[in-house]
Amino acid sequence: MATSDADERARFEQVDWDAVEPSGGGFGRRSALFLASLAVVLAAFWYDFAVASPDPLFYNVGLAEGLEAPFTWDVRGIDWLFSVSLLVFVFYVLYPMYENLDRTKAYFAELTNNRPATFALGYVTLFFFGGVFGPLLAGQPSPDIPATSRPPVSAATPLGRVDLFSLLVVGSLCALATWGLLDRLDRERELGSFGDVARVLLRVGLGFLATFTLVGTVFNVFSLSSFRTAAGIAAVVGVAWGLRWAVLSGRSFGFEQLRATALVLAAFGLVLVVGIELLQVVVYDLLQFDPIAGGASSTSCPAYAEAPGRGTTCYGTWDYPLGTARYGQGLIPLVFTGMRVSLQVALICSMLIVPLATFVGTVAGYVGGVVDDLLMSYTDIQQTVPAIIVYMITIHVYGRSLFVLVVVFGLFSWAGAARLVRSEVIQRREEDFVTAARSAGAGHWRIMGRHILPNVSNTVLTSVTRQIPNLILAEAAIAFLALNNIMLPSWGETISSQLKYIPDGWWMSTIPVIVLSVTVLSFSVLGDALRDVLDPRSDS
Amino acid sequence: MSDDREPVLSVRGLKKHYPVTKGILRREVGRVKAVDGIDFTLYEGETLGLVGESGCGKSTAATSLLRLEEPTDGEVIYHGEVPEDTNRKTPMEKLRAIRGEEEAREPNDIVGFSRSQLKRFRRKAQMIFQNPTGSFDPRMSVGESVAEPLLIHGLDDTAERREIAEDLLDRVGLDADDYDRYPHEFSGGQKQRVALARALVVNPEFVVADEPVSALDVSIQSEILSLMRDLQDRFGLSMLFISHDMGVIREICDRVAVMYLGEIVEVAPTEELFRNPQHPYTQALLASIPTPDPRQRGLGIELTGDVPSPDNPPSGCRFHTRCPKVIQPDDLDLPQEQFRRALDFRHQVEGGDVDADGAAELARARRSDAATGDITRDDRRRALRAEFDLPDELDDPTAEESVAAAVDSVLDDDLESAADRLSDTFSTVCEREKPALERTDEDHVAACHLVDGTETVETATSEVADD
Ligand code: SF4
Repeated sequence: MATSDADERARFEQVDWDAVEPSGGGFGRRSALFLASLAVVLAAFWYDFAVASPDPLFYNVGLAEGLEAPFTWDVRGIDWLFSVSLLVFVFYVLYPMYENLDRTKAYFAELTNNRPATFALGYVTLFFFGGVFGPLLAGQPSPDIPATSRPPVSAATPLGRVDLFSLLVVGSLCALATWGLLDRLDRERELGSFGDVARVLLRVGLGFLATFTLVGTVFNVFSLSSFRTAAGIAAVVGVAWGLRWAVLSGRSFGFEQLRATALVLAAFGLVLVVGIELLQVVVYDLLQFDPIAGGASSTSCPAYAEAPGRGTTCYGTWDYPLGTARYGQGLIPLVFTGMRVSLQVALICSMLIVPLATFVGTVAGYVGGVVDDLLMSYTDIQQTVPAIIVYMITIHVYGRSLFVLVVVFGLFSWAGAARLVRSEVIQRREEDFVTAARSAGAGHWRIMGRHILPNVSNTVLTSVTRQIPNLILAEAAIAFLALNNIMLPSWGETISSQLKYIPDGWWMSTIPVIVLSVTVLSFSVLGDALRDVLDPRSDS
Repeated sequence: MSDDREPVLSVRGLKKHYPVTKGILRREVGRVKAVDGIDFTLYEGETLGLVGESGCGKSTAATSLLRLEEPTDGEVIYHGEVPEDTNRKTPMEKLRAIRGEEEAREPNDIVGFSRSQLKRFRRKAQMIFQNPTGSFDPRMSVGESVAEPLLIHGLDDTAERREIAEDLLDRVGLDADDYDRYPHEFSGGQKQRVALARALVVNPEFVVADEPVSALDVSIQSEILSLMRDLQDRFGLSMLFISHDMGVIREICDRVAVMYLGEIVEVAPTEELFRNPQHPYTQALLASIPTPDPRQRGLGIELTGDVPSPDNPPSGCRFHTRCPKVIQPDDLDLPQEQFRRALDFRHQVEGGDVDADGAAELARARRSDAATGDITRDDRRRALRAEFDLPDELDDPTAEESVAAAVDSVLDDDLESAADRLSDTFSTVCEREKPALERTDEDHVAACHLVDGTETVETATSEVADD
């Protein structure tokens, strides 16, 4: 210990405390970056607001400068809020996760022990990227009169024709069933060996998706090249990443894996045949329902898409893989714009709920006494006012818009989280490390910021994740009640406007219903799993 | 020996009362007197032990003398350099100063320090806690925790902070690489080492250690204690060492102050206190240590009764409800044991803790093996006496008469006259008069009517008051 190099180290006895003057303390790097980015967004907002369109209706950015699409973008209030909330998300959720990589990895490992939670996390990640980049890739769902009511594209299988959408749904169900079956029958060897192959495939797929999203968005926005080039690049990247992992992971891929893959594929094929056969028997024959051809009169059907012997109905084409809605809006763009709307609801509401709940909960819990009583009585009162009523009143004044919706729901949904935070803070406040910090001379702000907040952040995160499904459902419900902005193609709006074409136009509403349900389910499952992983009461 | 040492801290009449409030307006309905006027002085380089049962207010004494809680009353004089005050007065404070509501305090009284003074003072006084797990923020690496006080006191250079903390971790017997590890990766003993490092990092003048080893295994206790002693010698620290464990106190303290129910009852150098305890409470505490040394045994004192609640402490000497040596009135001549029992009986009767039904139950329980026949009044009488270890016939006729009458009244459910009867006979000077602290030896003071001191001292810190 007392080596020469130890002597050169700074030691506490050598600190000349008279020379040390406490400074105010600056911003951390994260806050500085965040503030800089925020400043850029605010400057752009000011430009939009004051220069591009002095009137409060935000007008197309760029039009005034004589620019053409895609450099014109009608940025609305909600988009500005969305960019700010994205910044917050990146700097205050993703960045800390990256900073504490070890802890994040530990949580991730614990989360992935839970299979449903793993799937939910995967879907939520897709949802996030789909919401951010999807509308840029897929374009806006604009009406296309020659292609009204086109059903999803269909494919001929040895078992008869099946449309793409049903094939996807049946295929995923069959994959799940195969997995469950094999898991039950032979979980040790076959699935274990196949797992390695599946991991490689997963990386190929993820690499493809991520690259395609980014490259495709860039190509699309700047009209550089076609999606095909993007897909080619993405495929190369995906395969390269998958192979790289296969080589680096040090796993051997040999006969064992080959056999397992063959077995799994064979089982999947078998189950799929049964699944499609079931679909044919139950839906086509028993229910007398033909989902392949559009029953709703299509105004014009491309010649090659006509259904022979099926009258005026027609098959779907690859122009619209998942079909079109009543006025020819493609369902893929509809799904992605809906995803954007839901993501906006989720992120912006969280951005409002988290600081409010944290602030109120922390102040009430930390200060206590009369302040606590007052704040908690107020939360009680606010909890009795349903946000939807406030929304109904507000739209009479400000008109219907997503902006009003997220603001109202964000401002009226934090009470539950605040209560949780408060009880957590009350517990933490009494702990010795808070007293230790005080005896070291820390002020109240420092204690709240450095000791209390990091320790309640898990509580906030969990409770907000569990709140998100409710918010997304509330948006859909409002669309269903026809209280929304009908120009905004959210999932709820699509569902409620296309529901009347059931059963002939079944795909128009079924597809958004399924995506909406999967989204809500994933957030609920993820929220529950997060609570189990992050709950401070279970880890002590 | 204390004459040639400079005092670091003098506590005078320190009180901490917690108001008990009721209703939404928080009306005060009572007070818990956790610390009720204690005095002691901590000298440079010494370790002063503060010992007492749990709940006697020793931890509260520590937190309120450091002003982690605002003391209700009293002074804590800091003899070091008074930190400079850079606070501007708030309008409220100015107003109070003008109206003269602010009581005048000495400039070196910690209780009167302003916020900025207090922050500077915190650098000179550090604290170590009992629970090694709770005293570290689970979200901070131990290195960050150790370095945090440096940051708080304005050392802005991250690299320097890290170096200091690593060096210190090294010196408390851990590894510099432990800087980045998190508290849950350490054992209790290791965490207390980290706690020591955190306390030392700002080079304090004194450290308050609140039961620092109570949560540890006995084998690890002595390791930590010897580390503490080493560090104390090396850096000339003064230490206030709080513990309920007489064995630990003996190992590390130079002087000991014994606390009972918010008051200090005896102060003496450790050797002197263990050799010649004056206060019956100290004697009882010493008797309860398991010790291999036969000379230490045989004090034969055991405490009876519950620790009274500090929201309504007993009058006179606070120990009189449990004191085995409680003084008998002149007209009684009972064996000490019996007098103690009789007093216990009296307190229970006064508190309404016994009644006729209870006596019947006791009688039934005693006879459960031969459960024939009715329970006679005599049975109940005997059961009641047996419950309080009172023999069927007390040695003193006056006492016997009174107890017999009281037992009868209890069986008639007339607690009031029973209580009257008992309090007439079994009264004690210990209940009526508060004993003063008396000096029995140069450094030895105790507060008990039995102690015949050479002089009565105002406070346990009179050594300081003299000069
Ligand atoms: S004053 Fe009386 S009751 Fe108190 S300790 Fe002394 S003998 Fe016991």
